[in-house]
Amino acid sequence: MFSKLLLKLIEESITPAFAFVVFKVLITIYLGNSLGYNVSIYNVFSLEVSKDAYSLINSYLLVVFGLFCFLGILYSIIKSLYFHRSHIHPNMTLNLYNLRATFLIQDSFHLYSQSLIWLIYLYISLFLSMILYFLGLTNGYVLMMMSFLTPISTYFFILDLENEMEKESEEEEIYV
Amino acid sequence: MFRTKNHTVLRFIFDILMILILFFLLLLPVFLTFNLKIEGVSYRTLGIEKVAGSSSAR
Repeated sequence: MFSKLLLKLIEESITPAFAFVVFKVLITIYLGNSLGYNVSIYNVFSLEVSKDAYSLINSYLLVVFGLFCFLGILYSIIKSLYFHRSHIHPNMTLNLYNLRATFLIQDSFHLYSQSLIWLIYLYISLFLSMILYFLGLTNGYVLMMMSFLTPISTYFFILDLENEMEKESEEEEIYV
Repeated sequence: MFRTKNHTVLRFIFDILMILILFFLLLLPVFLTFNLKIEGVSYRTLGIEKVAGSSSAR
């Protein structure tokens, strides 16, 4: 009845969305209070701050979220390079069974939907930092960092995807 | 009447709903970033200032 792919994409996007909310709350409360604003959990979403405080809070938020997304995509790329169901080494499977870490062995559907979602969030962070930098509301180092992390993640994602496609075409040739 | 090969109208409605949920989750960082307000300045004013500033500088 439900679209399997859409359901999977929603499932994968819950973690980064929830993480952003947590980062937003923690960073705004910590930095807001240290800058002299009276910030609590009740007024964290309706806060009015000075331009400098805004710049500081959003810079930290984007840096933390960008690094989090980069780690997320790195995790899913490492999973697809070493623990992919289609080409995992038998010894590695045995080791993972012994370590009770078989949840790391996943198929293309899970791995690529996860990587795709992390990549989308990384691009959203990049565009956000671009807009904020254009408006003079964030530091240049945030944009520089995002402009560095996003192409690297895209490169690894494409590399991994091409690797998988090559393996699939090799397998097809064997069977044909 | 409403049934096509594999999809029904109900399936279509659920798909649209799920796309909307996904859209909301993906745009949550944007909403939350612009949720913070700057004292005495609106985003519109800031944008206009930037554009007008850059055009008047030429």
